[in-house]
Amino acid sequence: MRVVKALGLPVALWLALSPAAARGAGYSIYEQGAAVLGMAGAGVASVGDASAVFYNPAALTRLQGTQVLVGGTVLSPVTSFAGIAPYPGYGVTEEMKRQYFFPPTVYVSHQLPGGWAAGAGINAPFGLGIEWKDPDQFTGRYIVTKADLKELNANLSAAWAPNSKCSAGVGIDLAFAKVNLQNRKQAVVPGGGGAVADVAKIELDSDYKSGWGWNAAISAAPAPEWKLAASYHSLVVVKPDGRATFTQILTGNAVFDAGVAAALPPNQGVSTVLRFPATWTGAVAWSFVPAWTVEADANLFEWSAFKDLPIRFSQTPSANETLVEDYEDSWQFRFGAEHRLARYTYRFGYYYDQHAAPDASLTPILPDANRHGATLGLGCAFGTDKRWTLDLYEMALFVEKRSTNGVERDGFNGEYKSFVNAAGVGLGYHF
Amino acid sequence: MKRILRILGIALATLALAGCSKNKAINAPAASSGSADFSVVASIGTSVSSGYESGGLVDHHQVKAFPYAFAKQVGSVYEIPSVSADGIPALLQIAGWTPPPQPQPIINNTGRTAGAPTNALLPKPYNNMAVPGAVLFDVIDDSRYGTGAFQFIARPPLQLGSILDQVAKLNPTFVTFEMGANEVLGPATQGSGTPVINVATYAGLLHSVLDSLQVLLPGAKAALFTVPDITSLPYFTTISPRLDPTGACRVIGPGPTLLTDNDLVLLPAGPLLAAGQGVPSPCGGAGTPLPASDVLFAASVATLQAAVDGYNTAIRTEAAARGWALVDLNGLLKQAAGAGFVFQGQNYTSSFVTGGLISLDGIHPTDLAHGIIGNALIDAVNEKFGARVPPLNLAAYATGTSSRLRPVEVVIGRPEIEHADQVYGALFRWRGITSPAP
Repeated sequence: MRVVKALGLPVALWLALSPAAARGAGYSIYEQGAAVLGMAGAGVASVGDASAVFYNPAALTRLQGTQVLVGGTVLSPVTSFAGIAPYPGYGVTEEMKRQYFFPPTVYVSHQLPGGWAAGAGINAPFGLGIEWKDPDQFTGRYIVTKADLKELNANLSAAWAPNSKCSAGVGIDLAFAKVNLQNRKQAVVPGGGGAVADVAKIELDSDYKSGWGWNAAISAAPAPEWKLAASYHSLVVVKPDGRATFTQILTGNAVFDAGVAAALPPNQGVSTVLRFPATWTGAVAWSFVPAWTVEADANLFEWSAFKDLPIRFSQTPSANETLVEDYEDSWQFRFGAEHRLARYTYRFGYYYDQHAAPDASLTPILPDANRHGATLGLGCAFGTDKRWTLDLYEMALFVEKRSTNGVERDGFNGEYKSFVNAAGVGLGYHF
Repeated sequence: MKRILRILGIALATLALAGCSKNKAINAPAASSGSADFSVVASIGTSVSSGYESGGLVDHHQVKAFPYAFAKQVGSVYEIPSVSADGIPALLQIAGWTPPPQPQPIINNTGRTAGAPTNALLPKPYNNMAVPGAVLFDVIDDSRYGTGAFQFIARPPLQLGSILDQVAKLNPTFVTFEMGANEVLGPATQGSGTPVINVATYAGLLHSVLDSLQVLLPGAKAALFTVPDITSLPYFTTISPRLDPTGACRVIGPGPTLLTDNDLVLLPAGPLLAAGQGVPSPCGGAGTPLPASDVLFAASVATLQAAVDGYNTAIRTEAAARGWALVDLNGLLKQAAGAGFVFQGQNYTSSFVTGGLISLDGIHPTDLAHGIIGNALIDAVNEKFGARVPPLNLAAYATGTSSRLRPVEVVIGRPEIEHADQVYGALFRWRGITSPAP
């Protein structure tokens, strides 16, 4: 919490708001600008507001004057699970608690002389928040009952356009991240038929730690109606440490409880390594008539960097664990359209997001699956000289049912079904 | 444009409502039998197949036994010689603990009431004809049916005949066949290294019995089970011949002789060692040896293991020659004694009392172990006959117990099974047989 105090109350509030259910493959959150999301995130080439700090810093040179964009998305995921044999068994169903998350965004851009531009932003491009209902009975509680991954990213970018047809931008990222994992320790009931009893609650809770990364982008406009862009966000590695708490669950049997107490590790320090993968994007936008723009983007997430989640204890290394993940690189394909009318602009789009987790890593911590997002967006400018802009979007994210195919590493097999509803807003001002 | 937006909005809302629905429970897929026919399932076997646990037979364990589980999974009616609580004999439980610093479980059935057969008047053979203590010869010979657990199956008033006769009457389409364990386990539990019958005799008798089965049940299929190695059972491996970690003090075996690391001290020796018998005087004991029935010397272990290997070769040969399924029960129990089985986040092993796979008698599988064996049977049947029998829900087999909970970290060194002679005597009454003629 020392970092939070140093950054002051506003940022502390931000950190409190930032947990989010993973929206993209793995635990990425691509919802970083309401106008772009109205086009299903297909906006890297055509982005026209200060969210260019995230999507395409090379596009900052296109933004006039100084622009501020404040916004966020309300995410409401629902996830359920149906088990198969041998565990947890046919007929078993589980459900996550419905939660609402609000990862906010703030971006500023400023045009400088000589074709230069600068930008800054704070957002949360990665995050995870899951909590299963009834943690005392949830059949996967030995794996997880609740998990939160919070990431806050601060970016400074600069861009330069040697002419009106091309530009390039670079930026640096300072990421703060923390993780919280909770589960139950169970033990085989001795002398029984194989039953287990819950004997402890385990919570691993880290403080915020920082990591560095960088990003770069190039944009080109070979003809007035065409825009091309490519962008890159580097891998960011954060190594948080914190506290492991082991809280015994008394069974009512003094002998058993005494034994459990003797066997439980003490509360102690714990550390891990979080990896936020590199991302490549290629995008092309076409304004086939002046009022219309359509765009197609392809994103490659280098999820293969997420090999494992090591958990290291400071006092009892024998309790160390490495949660094997072995994620695979995954693609997103985004398609969007924007129609600019006299009084307002409307947008719509679709994207496909390929899962990154192999079947063996399809766990109740992160039930990753292919996703299909459909979006609608609306934008308008208002106020004096129309210096204010307001963009809204709504997204229905359909997550394909996905089965573990009987190979989940912790022996928790079945089929996950998820759906995410998202609604976002962006309020901009042009100085 | 408003119309376009309205259509898009309605479509999105409709899809969103559809996406919000909760995942429905997945039902077990219906079983299909492939080239086999599961309409009537019968089981020939030993105490393992009967569902014997913690020193007795009782209905709530009998219905967890793998043959019963398999029959239910394929939708077959399956009658068993059920026994009411607290079982016959009354089941063992953890009655208490020896004093700290290293408390050991005191296991007995004191205070429990013997149960009674509840299905003895069934006017036809049971589907589960497994008999605790049975050897292969008992399948075709009824000379011992008046004793011990044979009475459950024999039921003299009904004049059902031998197990083979009863199989013929039942006319099953599928048979689970698990015979041979008692040929080595019986002598081993008495400290003897002489199997009931040698490998050649076993192989010949097995061939003859299975030939008879095929004649009686033309077209029926079967699954054969291998015989477990005794060293995978905690009855033989829980108590170390060492009395201290360095081995400076060692248990005195019959002879008297100090036991080596390769000799086995049997579970009933626990109370004797606690009383000082088998413990050298310099190590604080009485200096008297353990009885021969509580020790299995390394040479005897090797003899019995060789017999198990020979039996299993014969079983594999028969399964292959007849086109039947083979379940490697020996391999499963070896895995239980080694790396174990991971299930619901726990590593289950055959460690006595704490491992979760072997019941309190140190020999017989727990309910969960039966579930694991049942799934191995299902896998073997699916592979051999092209069947599609869904796996068992193991969670339904990870059952609780009337036994008390105990500290998980305590190493079980010398558990005290009281009245062991009665408990195991009831199981191994066939001891007098040494060389039955095939």
